Amino acid sequence: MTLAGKIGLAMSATLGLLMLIISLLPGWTDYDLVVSEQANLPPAIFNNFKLAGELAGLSVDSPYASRICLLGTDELGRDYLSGLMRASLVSLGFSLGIAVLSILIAFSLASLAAWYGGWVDGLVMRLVDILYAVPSLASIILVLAIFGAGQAMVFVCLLGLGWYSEIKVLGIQIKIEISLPYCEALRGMGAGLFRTMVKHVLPNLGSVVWTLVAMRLLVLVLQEAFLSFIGFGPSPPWLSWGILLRDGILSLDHAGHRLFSTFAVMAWFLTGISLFLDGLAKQAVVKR
Amino acid sequence: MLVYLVRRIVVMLASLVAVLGLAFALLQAAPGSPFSGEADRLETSRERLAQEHFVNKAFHVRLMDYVSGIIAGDWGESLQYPQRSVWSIISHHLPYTLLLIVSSLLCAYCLGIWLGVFFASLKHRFFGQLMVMWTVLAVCIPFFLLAPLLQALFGVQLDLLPVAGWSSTRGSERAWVLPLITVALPLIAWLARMSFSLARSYLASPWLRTGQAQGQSSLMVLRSQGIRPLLATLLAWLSPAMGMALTACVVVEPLYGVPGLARYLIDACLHRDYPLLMGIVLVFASLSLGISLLADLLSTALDPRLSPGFRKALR
Amino acid sequence: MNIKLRAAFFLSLASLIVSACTIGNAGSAEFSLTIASEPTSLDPSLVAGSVDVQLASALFEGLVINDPKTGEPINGLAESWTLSPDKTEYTFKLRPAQWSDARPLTANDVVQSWLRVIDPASDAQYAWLPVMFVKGAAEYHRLRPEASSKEALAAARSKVAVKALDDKTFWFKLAKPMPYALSALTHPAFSVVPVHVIEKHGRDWTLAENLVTAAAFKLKEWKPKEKIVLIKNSNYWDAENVKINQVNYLLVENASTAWNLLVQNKVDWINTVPFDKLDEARSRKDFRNSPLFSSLFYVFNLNDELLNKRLLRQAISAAIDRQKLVDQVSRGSYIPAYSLVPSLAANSGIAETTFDLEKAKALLAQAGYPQGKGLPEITLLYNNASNHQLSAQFVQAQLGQIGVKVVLKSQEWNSFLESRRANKFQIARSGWIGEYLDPFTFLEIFQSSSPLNVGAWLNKEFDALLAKSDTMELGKERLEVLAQAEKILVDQEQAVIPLYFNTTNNMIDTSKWGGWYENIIDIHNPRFFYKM
Repeated sequence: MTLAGKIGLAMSATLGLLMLIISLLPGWTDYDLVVSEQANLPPAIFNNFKLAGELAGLSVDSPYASRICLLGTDELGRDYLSGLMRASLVSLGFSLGIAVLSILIAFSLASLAAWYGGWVDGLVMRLVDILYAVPSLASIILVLAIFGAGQAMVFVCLLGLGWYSEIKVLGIQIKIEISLPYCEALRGMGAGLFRTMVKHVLPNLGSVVWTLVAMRLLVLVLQEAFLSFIGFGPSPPWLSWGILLRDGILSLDHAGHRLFSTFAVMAWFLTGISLFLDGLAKQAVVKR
Repeated sequence: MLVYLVRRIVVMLASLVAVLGLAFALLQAAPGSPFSGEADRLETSRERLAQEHFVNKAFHVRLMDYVSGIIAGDWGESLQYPQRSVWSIISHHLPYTLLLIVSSLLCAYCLGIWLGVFFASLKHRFFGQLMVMWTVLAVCIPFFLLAPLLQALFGVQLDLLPVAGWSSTRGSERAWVLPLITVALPLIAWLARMSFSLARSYLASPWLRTGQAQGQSSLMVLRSQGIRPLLATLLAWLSPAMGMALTACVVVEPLYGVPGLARYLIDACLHRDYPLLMGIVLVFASLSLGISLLADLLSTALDPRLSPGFRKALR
Repeated sequence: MNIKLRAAFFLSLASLIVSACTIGNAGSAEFSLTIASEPTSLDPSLVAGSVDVQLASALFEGLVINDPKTGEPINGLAESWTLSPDKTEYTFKLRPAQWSDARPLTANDVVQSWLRVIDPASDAQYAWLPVMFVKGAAEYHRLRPEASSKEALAAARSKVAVKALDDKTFWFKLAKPMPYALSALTHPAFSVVPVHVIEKHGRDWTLAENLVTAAAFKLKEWKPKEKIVLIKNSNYWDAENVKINQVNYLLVENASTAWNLLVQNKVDWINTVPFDKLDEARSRKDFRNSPLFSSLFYVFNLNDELLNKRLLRQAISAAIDRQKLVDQVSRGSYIPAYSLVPSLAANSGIAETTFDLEKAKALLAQAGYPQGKGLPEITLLYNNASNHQLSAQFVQAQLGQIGVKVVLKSQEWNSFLESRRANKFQIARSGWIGEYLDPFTFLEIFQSSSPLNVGAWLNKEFDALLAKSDTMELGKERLEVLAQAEKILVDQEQAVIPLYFNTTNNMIDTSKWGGWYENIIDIHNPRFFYKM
């Protein structure tokens, strides 16, 4: 593993850990806690870490008076930091999962196509052409209209519309790879599809595969933000970076720290993970 | 080769019908009607006619009606805009979206690949990390954040470029620059990162190490020998890239007031404007399929190992 | 004198000179504004959204038009009118007006324009307006052109009670006495259209090269999704008082972009302020926040076993603090509502605060669910716009305080309308924009016969009060009857929860442009604008 890769891993791990520690601190509150008296509080650092209840003029015995909102509260008086944590968990978790799954599916199909060639190759590639040709936005909106836009349906749609994007790129890489002499030799030795692909081709293409996972992750985050913007993001109690960015823009003039902190957390996590994946990719470059 | 081409074109036409069928099925399954509004009280004659056309007939009959209509040159009438035909909408607005998509793809392929290859040739690990970081930033700033930022900077503060208003009016071409940047940026980042990764692995491969051992610089060997396989691989991404550019246009066009076709896409979905949506899908689907074919042909020409006959000849 | 002051001095001097010069040739002014969506059509009979109405009111005129200050009906193409003693027959005397192609405008044009909208073969979404008002129109519009004989259609058409008594006198009969009829006649569905041009060009009659109008402006060009340019119609009957020579409607869908254009002085008027510029806008002198004749409310599905309980509905309503909702959701732009009908000059509404947490808890206990015990979750349906989502979350939290658990369900617009129409909801977001300046327009949608009565509200007393109000004269007594009906709907039975009255944020410098007034219908006809 390269140094940068390790740094990347450390970056995402430390922020994750920090969030975990914060959530264990006393005075920590849950995002679902709406205290409308405490709406639109500034970040705690601007008011000497006073209790939110004190700032909002709540009586001391109020059950919600004793919390500290590190990033302030939103329009409904919810703790913004816990919202940001929930959004990070949802966005990062789903996006990472979907990215890996998409590339896995793409790799399997591309392997099949490259291995058998002929009509199998033709079938897979023409199917992929058809999927490319449907404007994905139209299908997402219609699918969400059919199955309901609620909850985290948007991530299911993103998986449904992402798994085929990289099949052709991977297909070409695999085709080139199995035309190399070592694959011919493997075939001569009687190695099957699974063994050739998983044990030999996949490690050799590791560099490309990891880069594709990293880019798919970024594209997913972009697409999700975009869908949230036009109103098709996850609906409460789910939350995502896209929703926070959209709302962050709406409150840019009076609470710019929301947009800024969301973006900072996003960039930190994504840079960390991208550096880590790039480290993996670099490690996988084979010196032949 | 000719046989292959003809076969591909036949398959392409069949795929087009499949895409239309898919879009039609989705539209059918979606609840709601093109004429529902918040204050809907009376059924108009147009609604009754559309009901007959689009709802009461069997699915395959309607699809066949539609396809035969298209073959006869009849694209239908928009339901949302009662006085405009689908063809007039498409022909009026398509050029803007097309220009935006094509120019951003060109930008992305030229600039992105060049950047990736150049950074890879520098070999120092610092540049690798720089590449990672800027691509992260470029992709994860959403369009709806980037556009107002660019407008505020180049439009309002510096007064260099118009905030909006790229249109058929002469002299408004300068307003095309900001939309282009917004659409192209994530594509450039994607291609730069991919070509960086590919070029890095090429540099480690025996066929480029020879050149390097002979004293050529990394950039030279990449340019002379690496570029063909690189392009062959990345061209396969042309169709999804077009899809991404189209999606970007949907948001970017209203943000910059570009009178393009992509803005009609969401509206047509939300209003269940069947004829208009089908028309738009037809246009972009044929474009995408055409580009796929073109990209396959180019890839094969660039790298003979990808041609259908190659494996057989090897054995 | 510092530089700024000096500049200001010279500027004001220059503007004095300029304004002195323009007194002579006032009318050289060009006005630019943004519109937020593509008009459905320029045909006034096909209007659907607010942009369509805005354009139709500039391009076409009816017998009466909206007063630019109050929105009340004033003379348009009609010079004067009389109402028969039984309050059903209107006789309009037309002005000596002509079309922009110099053809004189006759009473027959009015007859044909109205019949065109009522025609069962027409596509007019707002056909229901003339159908509701004009005697015989419902019978004609109900026919199916494809299923009826030509004779039957012609017979029904001739029975529609609109007539040209002579070239300049138009007569029509109301289906029944309707005191607010005159206000409804300002709607574009009643505007007078050039039937002779429509006959000649068919569907293409609204193209710039064909369009003929009898209003202050005519169409110069229409570039879809780009701009619409209107220029002064020199054949207009009041042309000498039209000071604007050209109006540019720029299509800008995004509010931030519109804002940027305003800041750069590229447009003179924008009618939305992006949410994140609200503070900045409020500090500017061209900011105009004014109430609209529009109301937002939640509607209960009374077919639902649970929400059929009146006490539960009242508990829910009493638990929502509208003032706080407005402060937090709209940042203080909207007006908290405890009644359905926004207050008009004539009608002060019944807007007493009914928010009372203790009362809500008591009502909930009375309904049989003390502290919400034993109460199943209630689903709240809304369409997926961010402000509606925020309101819904606020309401969810407020109801949580008394122990009512609410589940939020968001749907995309068309699916949402379908669910609401099909009565598949428990509580649904709803809203209404008044179509004429009378409380009746808000109450009539809850009549048991109305297709818009989505919550299945049936109340004989309510229906009877509405019917009674129709027979009365405009005035205080009638408004009291309507207020009584509203009380039954909102206070007694709580079939709806009023949340807030919408307002509009316009940005226009009224020290630069005269003739633009804040009004409750938010229709601003450029005919009245002039440069200061």
